[in-house]
Amino acid sequence: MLSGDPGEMPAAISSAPAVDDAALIRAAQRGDQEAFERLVRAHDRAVLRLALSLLRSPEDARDVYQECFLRVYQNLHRFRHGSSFQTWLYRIVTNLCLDQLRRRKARREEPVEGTGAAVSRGRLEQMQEARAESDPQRRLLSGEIGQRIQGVLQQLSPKERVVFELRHYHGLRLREIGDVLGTTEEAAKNSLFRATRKLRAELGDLL
Amino acid sequence: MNCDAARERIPLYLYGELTGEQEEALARHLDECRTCRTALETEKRLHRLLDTAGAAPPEELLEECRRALGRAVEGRLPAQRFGVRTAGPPRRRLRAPSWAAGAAAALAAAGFFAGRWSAQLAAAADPGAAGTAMEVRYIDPQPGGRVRIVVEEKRQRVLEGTLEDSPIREALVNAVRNPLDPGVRADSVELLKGMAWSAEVREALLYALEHDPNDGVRWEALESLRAHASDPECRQALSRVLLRDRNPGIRSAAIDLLANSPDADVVGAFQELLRFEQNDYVRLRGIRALEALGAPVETF
Repeated sequence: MLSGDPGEMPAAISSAPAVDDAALIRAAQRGDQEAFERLVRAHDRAVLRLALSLLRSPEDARDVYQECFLRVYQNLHRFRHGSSFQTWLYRIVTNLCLDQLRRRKARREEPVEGTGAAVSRGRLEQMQEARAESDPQRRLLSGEIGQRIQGVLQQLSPKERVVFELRHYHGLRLREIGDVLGTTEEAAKNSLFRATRKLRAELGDLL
Repeated sequence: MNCDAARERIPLYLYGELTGEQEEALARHLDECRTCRTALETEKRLHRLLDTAGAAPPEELLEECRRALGRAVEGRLPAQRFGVRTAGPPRRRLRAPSWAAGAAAALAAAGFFAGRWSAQLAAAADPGAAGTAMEVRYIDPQPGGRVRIVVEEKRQRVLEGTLEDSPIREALVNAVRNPLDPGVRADSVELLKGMAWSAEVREALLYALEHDPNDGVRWEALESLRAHASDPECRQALSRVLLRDRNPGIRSAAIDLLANSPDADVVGAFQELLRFEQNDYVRLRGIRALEALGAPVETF
């Protein structure tokens, strides 16, 4: 079928690693630790990437990563085959990130230079730049354009950021994103539309 | 459709999120409106720009997370608290679920989980050797508190030159398959666009077209192969893209490329497409292509 449903996509172009989640989940449910480890490794890069993108703090992203997979570990026996493990996992990590962003807002932790959050972002940028430090062009890209893009992404509302991240960087369909967020495909589409409009307006001079 | 409606649909078109009818209406408008075609190209550039900010998380952070999770799941150590935090999800010691109790306890007692994970330590920058990263491959505890560690070193170096230089071209060809960074892949595909006459470059571009998980990279790869659409290997890849790509925009672009230089096999590819295609717009493009070739829509 060619409906564009990722569930029907060939594994080669799926955003998720090409592993048989169902078999791994069944084995992990029987107590196979290696299967659980393989399940984690198949998905944890995406989980950390989403947490890092949304929270912009390695410490917070690390906490969310751990809490996310501990919840998976403790609740895997409740997982019902036939539903999407990826959607379940994204729902957990997204809720943890949104909770964290709400806490930050409530405690007025959001970007104030010199605070813990700002220091964490500095560390993240250092970690990202370290990978490209020997290449001047990449350094320039990550140091200037990359920061500019990140700055604009931070201006999006949390929901817009989640929808944009999941669609653009994680390849989820809007219908799946609606499932992750407990909302409709149409609402996800509206969030994506608002996000791309803002990004286009703010980054227009780079296009 | 007017220009305002078209501009609203262009982002959704690139994400493959329009219905068949919406895509058809947008295509009709784009055929007639140069301004909106320019807007589409601008939107594609925005996608490529945003791809550059979508790099994978740092490997060292990922490995830190894996080690900490391994320790927490093993249950022998309390979940480690990192850094100084003033807020965050509540941390707790793992309570082993009942379903896993037997096997997990046995494996944890053997240090299986944490051992395997910690043996795959992350690439860690060596402060004493700039440009070098090392990955621990094997840890062998020795008598007297000593330890023997086998490390694999990765050294960074700078390559400079033009696309005519084989080391540069080879690096870019390898970068097309970089699993971690869609920005690097998109840059590589774009740079290699003019080198598709080379068999190794064409092979890399065909790989990106068929296998890259990022829609923007696949779009770029398809564009880069436009001039080679009559090559047999390219046509075979395009025929597979017709049937397998998740993005209807890419599927319809593949129809156009195949239809521009038709051969005996293309009719069968289009007929095969119509057997399974569910997107109305792509179906319509396939039907029109077959009609233009004077071929029947049905195979029987």
